[in-house]
Amino acid sequence: MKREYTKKEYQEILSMQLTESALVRSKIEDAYGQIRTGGRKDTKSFYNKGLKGLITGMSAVAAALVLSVTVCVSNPALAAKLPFIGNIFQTVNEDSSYPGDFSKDAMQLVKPGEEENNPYVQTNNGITFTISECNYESMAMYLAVSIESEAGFSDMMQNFARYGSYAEEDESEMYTKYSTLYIGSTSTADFSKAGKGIYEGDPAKGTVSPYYIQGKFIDEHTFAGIIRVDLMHMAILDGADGWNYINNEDIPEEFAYTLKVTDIFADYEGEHLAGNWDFSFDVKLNHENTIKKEIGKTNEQGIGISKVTKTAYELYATLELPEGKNEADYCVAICDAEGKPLESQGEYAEIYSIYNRDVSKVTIYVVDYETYMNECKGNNYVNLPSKAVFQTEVEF
Amino acid sequence: MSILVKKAQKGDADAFIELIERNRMTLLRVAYGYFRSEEDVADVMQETILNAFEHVKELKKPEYFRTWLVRILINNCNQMYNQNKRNCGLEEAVEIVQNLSSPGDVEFHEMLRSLPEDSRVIFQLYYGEQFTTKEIGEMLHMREATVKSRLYRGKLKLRAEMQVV
Repeated sequence: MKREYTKKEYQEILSMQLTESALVRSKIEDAYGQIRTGGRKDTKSFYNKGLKGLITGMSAVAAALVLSVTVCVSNPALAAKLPFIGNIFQTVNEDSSYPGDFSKDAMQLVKPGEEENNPYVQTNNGITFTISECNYESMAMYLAVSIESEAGFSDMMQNFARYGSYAEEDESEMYTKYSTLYIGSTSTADFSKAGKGIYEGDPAKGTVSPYYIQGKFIDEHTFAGIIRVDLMHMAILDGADGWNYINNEDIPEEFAYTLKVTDIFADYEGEHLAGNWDFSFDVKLNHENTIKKEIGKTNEQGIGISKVTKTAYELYATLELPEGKNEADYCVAICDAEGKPLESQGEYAEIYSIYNRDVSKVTIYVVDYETYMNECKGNNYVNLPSKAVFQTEVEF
Repeated sequence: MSILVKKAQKGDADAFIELIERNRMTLLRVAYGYFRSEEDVADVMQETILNAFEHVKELKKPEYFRTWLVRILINNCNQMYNQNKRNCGLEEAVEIVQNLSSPGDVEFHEMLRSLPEDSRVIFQLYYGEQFTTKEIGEMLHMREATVKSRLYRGKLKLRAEMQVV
């Protein structure tokens, strides 16, 4: 029977020790038996029961199972047809959850008319993947992408990219004004010249690589969008104990970045476009627009904000907590000079977009997670001043 | 745990099995978030254990073993769901729950079934397994904001259903 549960009940019940069925135990013991005798003996894994040919960005396990012989070539003929090459940022700068006037400080990787033999224009399996512009800000890199399909993108793929899982529900308020294509990718950021090691973005290894592109379909053959590469949450090999998170401030100004895309899809359970598209970038981060303010204020319990960082596109307030407190139990909300809440820039909830907002003065609130979700989210932002456990104003 | 991982990476089968035993309940509970059929849960557990053994050498940071293992499980659950879509219907699910041996099992399955489908695994990972919303977002290919929103909407949906009843 359905009933409403408290947080404590969720935690207690969902972490219960379950009784294992004989069937589950037997399969586990069978796996242990295979491992004790050197590895897999049973070749009838469920993958072999009718492989669809999927590659996902989630796991090298799945990727290793799907082998396709592919050849990457530049395709000047296709690229030449794209009138927006070199101007993708301008075309889609508002068509994502991370909007911004990225063309302002962008570098062109593919100039109109120079598509031939350009390493940033690659065709594989009938899909031309182009990265025509880049913008290397200090908190995130933005890559302008076009994906052209010779065969055309199916209606289903276009619809799912636009409406996602809400496509079949009457929840029009949940529709985003942009489309999202997911990618399976691995990436590297080589900080070794600065003695900082190499970041490997690989979901199979527990690290993050770009996994989606937001933008719009220009027509049934062409998708244009922007990849946001986060520079705030990277972990690098320190050579001794394994991987450690690297502070954004410790990322060197110049480094080499690679992005290898192997899969494009809108719906995980739907159509997948597999291939190999490999790109390399010589990155030089732009710190000119970055302003850092040391705050160092807390409430009596030690909860507060240590510093605030603003770039040309985003704003981030670093939470300060006493020992034993968990960041996941708090939300940091920021309101602009007009008192309106800023929206998240990309996948991390607390990196905020400042696009078209007056952030000459901002108010930062730290709120208990449950309180924020129940009483301050969305239109309830007016409750932030009364519900926050800490708040402070910052002027830029 | 790190020492066990390092031993497992050197091919020590017993160390690897010990690691799985320590994380067995986590795998089982998350698998139930995807499947109601015991056969599916048994299959995905077996495949995950074998996959993990085959790839444990690639794990760079031993302390991420649990996160890494759950990622493999989730990937396998998604793959398996796509492959055979064998998860049973409501009637069969009820039968499974009725056949469960302890009141705790019944309570666990009742709670899982009460949650909206698109939030079920998120609730399990967040409340049951204590992963952060950021980690869950990375595991499920979702924005952290979406994870938080699903947790919130899941509770709201449940509350709304209570009011209708």
